[in-house]
Amino acid sequence: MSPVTKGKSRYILALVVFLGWLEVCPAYAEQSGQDYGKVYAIQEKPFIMNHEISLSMAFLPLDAFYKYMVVSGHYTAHFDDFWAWEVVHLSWATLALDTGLKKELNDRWGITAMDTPRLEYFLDSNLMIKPLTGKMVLFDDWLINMESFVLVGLGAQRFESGAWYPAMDAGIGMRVFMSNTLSIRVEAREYVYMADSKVDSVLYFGASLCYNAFAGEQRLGERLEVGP
Amino acid sequence: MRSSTRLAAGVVMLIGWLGSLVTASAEDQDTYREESAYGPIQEHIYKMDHEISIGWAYLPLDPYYKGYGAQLAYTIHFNPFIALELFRVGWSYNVDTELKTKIIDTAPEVSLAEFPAVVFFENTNLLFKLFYGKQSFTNRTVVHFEIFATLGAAFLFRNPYPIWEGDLDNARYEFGVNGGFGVRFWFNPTWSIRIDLRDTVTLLSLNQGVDDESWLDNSAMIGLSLAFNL
Repeated sequence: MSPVTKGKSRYILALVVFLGWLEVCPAYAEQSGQDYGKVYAIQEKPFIMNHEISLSMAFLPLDAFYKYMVVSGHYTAHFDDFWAWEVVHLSWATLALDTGLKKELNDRWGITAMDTPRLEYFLDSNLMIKPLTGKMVLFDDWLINMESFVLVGLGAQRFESGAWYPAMDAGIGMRVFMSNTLSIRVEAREYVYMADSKVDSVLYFGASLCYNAFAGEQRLGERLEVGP
Repeated sequence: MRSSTRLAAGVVMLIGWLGSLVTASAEDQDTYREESAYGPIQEHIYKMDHEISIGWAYLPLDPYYKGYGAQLAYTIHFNPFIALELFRVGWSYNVDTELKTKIIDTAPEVSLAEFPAVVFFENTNLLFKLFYGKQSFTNRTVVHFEIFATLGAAFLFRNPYPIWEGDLDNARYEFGVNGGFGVRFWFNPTWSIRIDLRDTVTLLSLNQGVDDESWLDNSAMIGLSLAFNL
C-alpha cells in the first residue's frame, strides 16, 4: 500500500469511528437518566433562502508548490429549510503564490521540479443539506442567526496543462444571516480528483457574501417544541 | 487619480451600506429579544471549568511529510469568554510524501537527515470564546456550541527520524507563535468535542546538524479532541 493510500485509509477509518461515536453518545445520555428539562428548539427559522447568488474569496493551502487565492461564484437553489442544490460553483485560482519549494529543491539538491501543474479553474455542483439551524451570541451581546450545512458534489478541475480532471468534493460550512437578503457563509471543502490514474486532493477554505434573490418574508414564528 | 478617488468613494459607500444593514438587522433582533420569554438565548448551560482533552492531530503542511498524531491538553476556563490552555502536547507519526520519495529516488546522495519533521509539539494559548450558541438538528435535538480563537506560544521538536530510533544528531528545537480558531460541541455538561485549526510560525530555531534557512517555517495542525470537564 502506498503512503498516500495508507494515509487516506486511516482518514476514512477515523471518520467512521467518529461517526459511530456520535451515534452512540446521545443514546448514552438517554440511558444515564440525566434530566435536562423539557427541550425547546429555537424559534422557527426566521430567514428563508430562495435563489442564492454569491461571490467568494478562498484559500487553498495544501499544495506544496503553490498557495492559491481563489475567487468563486455560486448559484444555489434552496428547495426548503433542509435541502438545497448548489447548481454551479465556479472557481478561478487568480493568484498562485510560489512557496519557494522549487527553488529550494534546486538550491539544495540541484533538482528541477518539472511536474508541478498549476491549478487554474474548477467547477462543481453540490447537494447542500442544512440539518442545523440556530442562533449564537457574540460576547453575550449581539444576536446572530445562523445555519450549518454539509455539501457533497461532483465536478472537474482544470490545470494549466489544459487537462480537466474529474473530482468529487465534500464540505461543511456555516451561514450567518445579516438580513433577509444578505448573508455571509464560511466553508471548508475537500476536493479529491483523479489525475493520470493518481488520486490527489485540494483543501478549500472560503468566505462568501451571498445575496438571496426573491427572498420570502421574514418569519416571526413561534417556538417549536421538540423532544419527548 | 480620478479612478482611485472613485474607487475610494465606492469602498466607503459599500462599507456604509453594509454597516446600515448590520444595524438594521440588530434592531430586528432587539424585537426578538423583547418577544422571547427566554431572551435572545438562554444563559450558557454548559460552563467549562478544568478541561482535559485528548484527541487526534493532523499536520498537513510539510511538503515532505504528512503527520498523523495524538494530542493531550489541559485548559483552565476563567469565565465564559476567556480561558488559558496551559498546555497542548502532541506527538506526530510522519508519513513520507510522494515528493520526498521522488527526491530520494532521483538523488541517492541526499541524506535522510535533511528532512526534519515535527515529532513533538507543545502550545500554550489564550482562548477567546467569542461565540456561544445553539442549533436545532432537524428540529429534533438541540446542540450547544461555541466558537473560539486561540493565540499563544509554541514549541516544536523536529527530527528526521522516528523518535524510537534514538538518533537526535539532527534534531531542531523551534520556538514560535501560534494562532488559530476552533469550535466545540457539547454532548452534555461533562463531555464535548472540539475541532481546532492552528498555525505555528517559527521565530527561533536551534539546530543541530544540517543548518539551512530555506526550510518552510510554519506548521499547521488540524485537531479533533474529546474533552472532559472536571
